[in-house]
Amino acid sequence: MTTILAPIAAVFLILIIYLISKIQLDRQKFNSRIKILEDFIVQISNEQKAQNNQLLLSEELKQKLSHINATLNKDIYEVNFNLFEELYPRK
Amino acid sequence: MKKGLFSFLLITSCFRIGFAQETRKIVIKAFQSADSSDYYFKVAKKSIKNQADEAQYYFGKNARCCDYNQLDSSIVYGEKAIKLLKNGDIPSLLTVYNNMSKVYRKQGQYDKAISYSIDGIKIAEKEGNGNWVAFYNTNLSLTYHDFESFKKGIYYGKKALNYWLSKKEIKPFYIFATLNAIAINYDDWNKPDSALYYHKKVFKYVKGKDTLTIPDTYNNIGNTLLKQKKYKESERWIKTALKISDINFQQNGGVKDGAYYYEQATFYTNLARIAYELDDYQKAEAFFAKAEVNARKSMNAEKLRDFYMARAIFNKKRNNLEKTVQDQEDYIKLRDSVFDVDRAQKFSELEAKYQNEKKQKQILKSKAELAERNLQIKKKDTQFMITLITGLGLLIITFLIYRQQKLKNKQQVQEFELKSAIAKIETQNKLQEQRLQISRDLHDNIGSQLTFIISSVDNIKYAFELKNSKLDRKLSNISSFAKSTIFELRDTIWAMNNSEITFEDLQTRIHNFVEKAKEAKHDIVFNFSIEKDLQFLKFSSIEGMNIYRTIQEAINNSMKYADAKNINIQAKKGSNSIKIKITDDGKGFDKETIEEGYGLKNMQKRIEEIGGKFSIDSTAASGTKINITIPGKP
Repeated sequence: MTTILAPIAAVFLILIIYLISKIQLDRQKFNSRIKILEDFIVQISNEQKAQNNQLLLSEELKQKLSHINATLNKDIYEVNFNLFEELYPRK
Repeated sequence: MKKGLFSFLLITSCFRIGFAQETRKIVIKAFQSADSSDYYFKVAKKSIKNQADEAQYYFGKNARCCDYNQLDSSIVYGEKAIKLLKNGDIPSLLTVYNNMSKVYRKQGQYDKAISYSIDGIKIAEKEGNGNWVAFYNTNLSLTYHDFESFKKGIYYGKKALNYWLSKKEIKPFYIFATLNAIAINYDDWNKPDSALYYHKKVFKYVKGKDTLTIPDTYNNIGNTLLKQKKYKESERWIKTALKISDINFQQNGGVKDGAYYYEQATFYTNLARIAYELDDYQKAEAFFAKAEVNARKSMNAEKLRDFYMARAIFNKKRNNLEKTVQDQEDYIKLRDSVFDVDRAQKFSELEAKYQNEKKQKQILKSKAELAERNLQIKKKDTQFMITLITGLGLLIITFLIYRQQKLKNKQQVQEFELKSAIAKIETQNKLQEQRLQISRDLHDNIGSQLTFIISSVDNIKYAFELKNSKLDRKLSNISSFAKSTIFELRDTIWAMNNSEITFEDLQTRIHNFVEKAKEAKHDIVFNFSIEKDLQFLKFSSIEGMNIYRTIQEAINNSMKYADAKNINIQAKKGSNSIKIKITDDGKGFDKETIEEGYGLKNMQKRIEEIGGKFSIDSTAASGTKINITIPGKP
């Protein structure tokens, strides 16, 4: 009985050590994999942030352009009007 | 009593086991033959070839002489047989010891009888032969009975009885012999009820025709009843015993051995006692005469002793004093020869020695058992410990596997969530990229279109030589508006095309702006200083653009409204922040009364949009101070 149980106990011990080391190894592998993913997320998040900023600037530019457009339209209309006044008495 | 039957059974059974060779076969014939016994023994002696044959020859002679009451011869042959058998045939040796014990008991040498019985027990115990131990115990019971030590006799008898009853296969004749030994002890101890109980118990085991083999029991019951003064009843039992004995005698071919004489002496002594108790002296005298002859021939000291005692009482009753004294003297002489003190002491010593040896053996045995038990306990402890460790190991393994699986699931969920988040962000990024691309495409041509407007306006102006001053001014306004717009758009598009803007880039841009401003106002002195550590500090495009626009607005205000001569711009490192200070020495303003439109609110809004703090301090005497703090930057 004793001679049978002793090797079984030894096998269990080896199995426990193997399982613990395997769990540790798996955890390390997972952590490194997750680290890469996290770094990637940080990178693309930064990219997104930069794009957001650029989009904000684009929005600002859009507003500015509409303002420029309105001003130029008004100025050009007035120039046309003045030109028309100038040319009309000649006819 | 038929003690002879008991011995005969033992001897024949052992003979069957032990004998196989030629001499042995002849010895068996000699033993069994009534008339030709001597002849066969002579033949057997001639056929002796080795020591074993010689041993068997003496063994046979010993048994034969024992049964035929040649007691001295039996002892001589027995001693020779023991010497030769000691290293060989154990069953034969046990039988010889038994015979020797029986012979010495007949002679009244109880110490020697007990010594042989005890030696026999030792050998039987060593051999693990329980049957022989029981035989010897029965033998001891009978010896102690004859020695009138009834208590011990009962003790050994009961020991033997317990053994026989514990056997799966009940041997009726073995039980009968033992019950008989116990009963006669009780009988002579004056415990007739117990004696009758054990005597009558015999009939439980020996029934029908087999009762013909136990005339002793009939006689013994009669003997007990005689002591109870139930003479008639007693006489009936003893006469039955006598009849049975006569039948057996005839069936055995008229062989008169020791057992026969012993039985006859017993029966007639008892019948004589009954007769004189019933005052039939003549009959009693006749029975005593027969009893005397048989008692003498039985050569049994106990029997002869009983006979003298009974006849002394009888003679006393008849007032025949001379004969009474003679019988009493004979009785006392015989008794003294049997019951002397030394012998009694020797008895005790022998028994004590045997008991001591037995106890020592028991102690050794119990010690060995204790050691074995301790070993077993130790073994069980070890087994328990290992079982515990194994159980614990299994539990740990199960837990570890469960934990690993749980961890794996958790990791998979976590990984999936991260991948989903990445996919989502990537999708959003792609969408934003597309939007930005569209926006860039839209803005790309604006610069050239504005340049086209400027050149068209200038062409109109110079080609047509306009005299209308109003028209001319309008065209000039369009041209200058378009030019300033180009500059302004360039800054925004520059910021849009860069995801990161360094302080150095900002500095260059502001310098360009200042140079342009100087073209309009030559007398203004600009002082722009940045701490060395801040030069390579990076801002996002929106942060850079907002800081740039705020500084631009501040310079514009100083130039347009404050008529400043000196404008200082300083960028310094604060604690976990950047501090930008814009000062001028122009006309200050009252914050309470100032009109909106100087872009102050716009400046504040831009700085607050990027998480900074904006403050303005202005007095008419000391000019304007603008403090910008951008937190979260080293």
